[in-house]
Amino acid sequence: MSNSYENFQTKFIDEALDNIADLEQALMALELSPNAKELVERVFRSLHSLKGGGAMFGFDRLSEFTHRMENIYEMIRSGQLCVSSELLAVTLQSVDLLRDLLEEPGEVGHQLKQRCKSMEKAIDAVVREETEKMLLTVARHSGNEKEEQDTPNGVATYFIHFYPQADILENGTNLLYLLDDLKELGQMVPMPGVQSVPVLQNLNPVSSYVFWDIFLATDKGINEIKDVFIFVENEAVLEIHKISNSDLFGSEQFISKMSELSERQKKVDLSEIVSIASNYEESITEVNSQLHEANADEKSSSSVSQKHDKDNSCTAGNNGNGKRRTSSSIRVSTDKIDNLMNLVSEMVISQERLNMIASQHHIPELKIVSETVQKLTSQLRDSTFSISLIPIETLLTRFQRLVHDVSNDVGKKIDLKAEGLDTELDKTMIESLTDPLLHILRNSIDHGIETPDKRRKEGKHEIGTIHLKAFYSGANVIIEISDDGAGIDPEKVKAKAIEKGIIPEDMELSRQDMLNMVFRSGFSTNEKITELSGRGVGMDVVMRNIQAVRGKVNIDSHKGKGTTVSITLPLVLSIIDGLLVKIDQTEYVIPLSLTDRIFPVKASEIEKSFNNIISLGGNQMSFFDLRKELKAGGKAPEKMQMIVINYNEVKIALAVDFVIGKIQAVLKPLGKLYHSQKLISAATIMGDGSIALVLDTNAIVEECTAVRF
Amino acid sequence: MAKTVLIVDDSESIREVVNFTLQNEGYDVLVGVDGEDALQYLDGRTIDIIITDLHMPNLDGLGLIRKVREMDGYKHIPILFLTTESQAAKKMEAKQAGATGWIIKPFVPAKLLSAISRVLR
Repeated sequence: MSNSYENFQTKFIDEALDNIADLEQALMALELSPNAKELVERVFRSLHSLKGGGAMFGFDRLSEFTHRMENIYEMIRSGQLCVSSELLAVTLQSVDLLRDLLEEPGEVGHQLKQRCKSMEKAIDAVVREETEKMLLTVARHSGNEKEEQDTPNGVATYFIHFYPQADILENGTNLLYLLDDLKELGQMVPMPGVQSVPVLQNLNPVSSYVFWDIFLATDKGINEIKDVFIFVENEAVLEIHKISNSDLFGSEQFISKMSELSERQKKVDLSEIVSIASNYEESITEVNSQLHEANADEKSSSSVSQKHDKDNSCTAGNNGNGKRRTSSSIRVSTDKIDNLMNLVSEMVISQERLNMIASQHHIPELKIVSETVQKLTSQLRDSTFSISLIPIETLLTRFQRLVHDVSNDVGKKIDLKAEGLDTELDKTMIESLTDPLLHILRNSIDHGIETPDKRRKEGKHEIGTIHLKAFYSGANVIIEISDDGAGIDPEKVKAKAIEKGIIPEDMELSRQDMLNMVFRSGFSTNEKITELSGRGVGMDVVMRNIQAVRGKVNIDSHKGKGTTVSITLPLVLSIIDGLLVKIDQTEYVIPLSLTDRIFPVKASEIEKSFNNIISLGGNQMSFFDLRKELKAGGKAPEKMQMIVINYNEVKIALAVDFVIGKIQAVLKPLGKLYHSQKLISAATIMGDGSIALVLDTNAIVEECTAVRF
Repeated sequence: MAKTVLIVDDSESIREVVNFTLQNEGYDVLVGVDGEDALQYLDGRTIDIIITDLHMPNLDGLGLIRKVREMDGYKHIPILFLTTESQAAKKMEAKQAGATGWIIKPFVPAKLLSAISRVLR
């Protein structure tokens, strides 16, 4: 192959890594629903792409290995083999091998070769076992084939006509919640009828005019559907008909009919739907009987047909979220995005300059242009940032994998629940988050969650739960990892800290202070260092990593109940909206997202105040005089201003000489020489070329209130 | 006039290699990421040959062929499979669906080119 083809190799590696990640994800999902055909299909396709590309781009061993695996999943696809947890376990193990193989194109090293061989052996063994098992089941089941066919998978399709009376909203019913409840039961298509909605001037906003025709496929009975409407029965016309004993969402004809109906707002003609339903039911029975005929010859009848039935129910349940969204996307190198970011930053600076000039010269046209440009730049800024935002979901597979592997290793049963996975964070942030999060998770698994025996004794559910939750909070994203394990004993932590010489023996500490000791370097409560969490990386490293991206870590724990570690991260890294203030001759920027209010105060009030408490707008509030804290020279002006900021839910006031106004600050890192100072997080270039310092208000508050050891 | 080739493959790197190889030889290249995606190109424009993968999401190679063979303007267009699959049974199935030929991955560029020019002649 000529030289230019080698350039494609890097591309392939990128793509292969994505493929492997996808493979991993599909395997994890397959573990939860082993009969989901589309997952098997996904696994197969990933393996197939790896095989093809591997062979194409010189990863022969990878190609060979994936070929073998592909064959196995081909067998599953065609029903010759069943998905078992053993099989999934070996496949998952080999995923790591695949990653390593990607690092060595061409001839692979001896060690890797050995690993491939032993892996292949392990896989072969599992496959052999599974095939034997399969034959056994066939033999055992060959008698009761008929019986199985007669029990349907339970999913039926209902038609629901729901016409609430106009006054239904008056008792506080939210009709949309009803639809949500209904959706919980299965898959549904709601078709709102809006024909009777009057023109605007006749519309009474507290009346309901809409009715719904709903198709619902569910394995629940008709009574459960009725239960949903129990509170509105008297205020509405409700009809529920069972139209088919099968899941009509599997019928293409039905789906297309649905979309036609909802597009054209036509009245639902039930007889038409019922005929579609009977057609579909016939076709299913036909397929089933064909399968049975075919199977009778092959003597593998019942298990396959059984599988078929299961598949039906599985896909029905999964259709809502199991199907992967495919949106078109392109791959762009991060360099290009960084470049774009820099350009946008420069543009924001120039725009500030334009703003300044426009405000100096009183030319109306200039002002209009400058305002338009300002609006455009801030939109441009936001959409540029959103390019490099990726959802936290991308991390989840690795976490599930960790929980799966590690909990098996230590013999604990753990359920990982995740929430808010669509919360987006900067890509670089996600990258620097991975290790700390993995570490915290490991801690939870290793130290937090107890063994099943112990949990039973303590009256907890045998399966421990780790809850991963991400959500936006103001200008921050918060990620919480909580477990329902043993929790941390603050006294024990304190004793340990004293023993390690981190704090003096007679020190008084609050509960929170004691817990925070785990973040101090040189601290590890576990007596014996286990392979998992005690690998020399402590919570202090977690803390440092998170702080490096301007985040914060908090820990809260109750003995016997569990531990919660929450990580607070700033949403945007490089451009912020700020409040420009002046102290003596220097201009500072305070992040606007943190400021709450501004109050005028007299310098004398500050001087007279006792214990740094001042009354602002009727509230007593702690304050800090930034003049003092930043060691500003000169004399304080007679009239000063107090900026109230949010510090962890608490309001704290900061005194400054003068508030100049709002600016967009492009954050430029301070040089290495300034690393040791904490109060200033960055610098920004102003419209006139001068420099303003961006204050890290959290650090200021912490510095001013710090308990010094 | 340059001949137009439609490449269909779900693997980006494969698409790029084929694209690179063909463009170097002066072909006009259209690219589809799966069968479904490829169908959008079959809107009446002239396409001289389709080269498609077998296993793809949404609509696989066989499905694509069957659909193409039903379309008036494209009933007789040559379609080559480019795949790692080498089983005779699969080949038979592809042939019945209406495939013109078969190129095995990994391919040598020269072979791909000669296969294409043989079909296009």
